[in-house]
Amino acid sequence: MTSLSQRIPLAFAEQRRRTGTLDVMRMLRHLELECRTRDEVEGVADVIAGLLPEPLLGRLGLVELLLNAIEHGNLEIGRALKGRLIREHRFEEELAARLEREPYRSRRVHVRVDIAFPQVEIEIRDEGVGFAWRSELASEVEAHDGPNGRGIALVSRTCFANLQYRDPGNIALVTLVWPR
Amino acid sequence: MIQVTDNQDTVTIQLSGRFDFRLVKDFQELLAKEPKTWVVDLSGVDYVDSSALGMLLLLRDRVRGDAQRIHLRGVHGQPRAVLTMAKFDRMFKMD
Repeated sequence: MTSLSQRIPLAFAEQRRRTGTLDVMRMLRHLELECRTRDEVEGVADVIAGLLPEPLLGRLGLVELLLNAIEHGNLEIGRALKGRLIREHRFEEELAARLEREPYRSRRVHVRVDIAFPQVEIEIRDEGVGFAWRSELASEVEAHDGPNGRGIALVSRTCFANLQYRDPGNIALVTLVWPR
Repeated sequence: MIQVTDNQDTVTIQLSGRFDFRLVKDFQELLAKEPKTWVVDLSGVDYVDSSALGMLLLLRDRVRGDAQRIHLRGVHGQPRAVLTMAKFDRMFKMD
């Protein structure tokens, strides 16, 4: 059986072929998707990016936010721990192990896209405990040392200028407007 | 995808497609080498993410921050926009 993330792009591709993305956007009201693994993150990001004014930047922003939601939110691998695991070449292994272990295994990232064309709102919610998002949003990409920890600064500077979080930080919110 | 050419004093890492979180492990394994200079050829790369930035900084750690020993080559499009925004053009030799 094909997964949801595989079927939706096909449906959209067909719609786009007939009527173009903008016509689809005028008909779409909302989408709800879930992901648990990094493979699923890319599927979800590809579906939603296709609905955005700048798909390539949108994809990058979505993948970053969704990976954060999985790694830091659901799997509770904090920034310092991730940095240490990467340096010790053990990050992939730890990620895979947590994905198979409760309580992490049953956690999902829930994505909701609400469309009131030309406006698109994206909400990404994980099942973790949140984080100190205000200082992250305020930081510059180059302020970070080490192999990780630049995702949010990168997203807010490059992809989604109005990236926000809802306390305690397990919900990321992005609003985009299609240019007229 | 990663291709590596080890030529006396220079190791050239040629990447293509997406330079992203999926390459962390393979990229890291290359860092065991100890050449005088590194060339990271990004001419075939059309997409980088924050993990790519992290990998380049791991490489920079390997040469103790000596910008002259790492050459980022063929940077264009989205990768150029992201690397420039992150001020990597100041930390690496980049063209």
